[in-house]
Amino acid sequence: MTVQVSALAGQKRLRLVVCGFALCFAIIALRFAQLALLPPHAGQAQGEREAPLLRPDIIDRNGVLLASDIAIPSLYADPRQIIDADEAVELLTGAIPEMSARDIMQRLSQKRSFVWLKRQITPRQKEIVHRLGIPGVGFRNETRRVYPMGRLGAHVLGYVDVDSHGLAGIEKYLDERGAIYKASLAEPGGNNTGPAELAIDARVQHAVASEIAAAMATYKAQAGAGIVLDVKSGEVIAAVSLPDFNPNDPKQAQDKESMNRFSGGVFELGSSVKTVTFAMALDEGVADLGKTYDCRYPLPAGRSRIDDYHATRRILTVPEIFTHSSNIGTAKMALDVGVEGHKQFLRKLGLFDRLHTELPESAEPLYPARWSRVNTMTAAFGHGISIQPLQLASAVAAFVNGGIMIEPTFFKRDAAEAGAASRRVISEETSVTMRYLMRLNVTEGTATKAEAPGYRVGGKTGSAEKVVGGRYSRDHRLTTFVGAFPMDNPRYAVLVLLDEPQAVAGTYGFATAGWNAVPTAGRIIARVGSMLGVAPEITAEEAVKLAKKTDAGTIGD
Amino acid sequence: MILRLLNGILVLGLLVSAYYAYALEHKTRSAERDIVLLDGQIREERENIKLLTAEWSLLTRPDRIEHLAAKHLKLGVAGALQRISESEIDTRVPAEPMIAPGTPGTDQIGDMLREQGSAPADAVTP
Repeated sequence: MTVQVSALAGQKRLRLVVCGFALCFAIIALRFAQLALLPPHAGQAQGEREAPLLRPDIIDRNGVLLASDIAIPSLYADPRQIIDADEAVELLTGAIPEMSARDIMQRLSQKRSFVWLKRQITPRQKEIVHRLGIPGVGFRNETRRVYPMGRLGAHVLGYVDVDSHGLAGIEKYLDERGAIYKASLAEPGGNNTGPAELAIDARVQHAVASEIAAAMATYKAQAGAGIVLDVKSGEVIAAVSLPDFNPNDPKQAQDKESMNRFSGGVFELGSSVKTVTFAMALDEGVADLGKTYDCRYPLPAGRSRIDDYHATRRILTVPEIFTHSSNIGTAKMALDVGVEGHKQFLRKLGLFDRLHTELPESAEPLYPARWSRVNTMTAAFGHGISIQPLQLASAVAAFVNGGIMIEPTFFKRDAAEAGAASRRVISEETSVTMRYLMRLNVTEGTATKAEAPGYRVGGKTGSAEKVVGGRYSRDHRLTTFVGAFPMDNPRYAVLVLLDEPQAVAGTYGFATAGWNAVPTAGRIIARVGSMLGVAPEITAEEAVKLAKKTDAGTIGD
Repeated sequence: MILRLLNGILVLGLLVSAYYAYALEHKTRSAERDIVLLDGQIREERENIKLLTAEWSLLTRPDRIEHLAAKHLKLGVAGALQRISESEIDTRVPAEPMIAPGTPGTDQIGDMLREQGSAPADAVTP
């Protein structure tokens, strides 16, 4: 009986154990089935391998690298693994001479498992130390932002701080757009980030920078700026501001002199703003090429009088006002349009508002809060209103491209994007007239020295007097040239600005735009024209002149 | 008897599945090691490519090229006259080529390369 009972109890217990095991196996089997059949959790698997988000490379429109994150090796040691410290010191100082023997010795004698020996060594030094094979010495990579082109395009690129945060330029823009934007540039499947493609052309940028630098040296100017703008897409092909800085050494950028002058500063640009007044008067229909204005007498404006620099003292036609750069005539044209109309047109061009591009350095235009008749008269020839040079270049691009204002951009963009960022500001006919006037000004006006044979340049000069101690000074000038080429079908707008150029030998005592900014623009266009793929058309007369000039120093002589 | 046979089959099955499971795990581990290794190599190669691109960019800086060209070559800025359209090519080609490869004195770059011994003489014949 007792045996039976215990056998029964044993069987019951066995069943319980079997059930328990069966349950366990069932759970395991279910889990297997779940793992095998259900797709893996996407986030989990990737999270483990995701590398920290790097800054994207920045490249120019042709793919030339302008900024990149580079892993820089740093040298460290584990003092406890060093067998012979003296030998190690000797070998290391032999490989990297700038390390001091005493310093290394002191570090190696510390009782720790990790000491830095030298931060950020060159790949070559790494190779040498690696070959030495000293036990207990190793490398760790640290990321650093480098700008291989140095100063080239520094104001556009900007720079980063030690923690790789963008502090200026496109670098800051990339940060402000956030990690998501940076990640969106990532190449699929890689933990590497794809490049940010700029509109800048490194070759053109260099050509403009070197010509502006040469002009600053020749004419003893304090500063200079240059812009090349694609009039059909609004892309900024080159934007130069001198003095500049090397983004690899951001401390240089703190200097106030190295500010961004093409968009980070506003200036009274002087007579080159007359292009705006002419476009307005012609588009409103208050003036045409046949109309004449009396420019014999200075024009009273408030307590002072408006006079001409190149005074003619006669009645001028509209083209003559343009080519002689008559302040009197231009002020009268603006008055014909009227104060309200003038303000409206300036607002339409965006000259009253801060220009919005990708660059965070964008200065707000300065203009009088109470805009009177006198303001219209002076603003007609570019005084009393301060705008960014890039704003003027963009407006002139609109005047010559058929009348379409396109928001300038520092990023490469296609025709569709350009179309979305554009609006009509003047009619096509007015644009044709503007092209005629600007070309005329180069063939027989104030900008004759801008002629780059073959490239049909057109443009307008400006020599603004700077305000020194609250008064306009005749000795401190800001000279500009704004124009475009080729004038029969404009492709690129060019702006050159020189701050306080001096009269030097060869300029016959003149320090106005026609003698410094204008020839500089001519040289820039002659140099970049072929890079930009503009086909030159040379007349027989020009060919003779060119052949003489280029006889020396070309291939084959 | 049947129970014993079943047990035998189960034990055999257990052994086979255990072997299979271990073999699978072994394969997985070695595949994982490969992945880590390859990932490391890919990362290293990417870094190398970046480094080389940066170095290339550093060496082809326009101001450096300009400086070198001014120092070693008698070249000027490419002007409007140097550019011709496709239709003009047959009429504008000079009868005597300005640069005759292999002829000392006409081919500056070739001469420089030959001096350094890195270009085989008369490698290119027009």
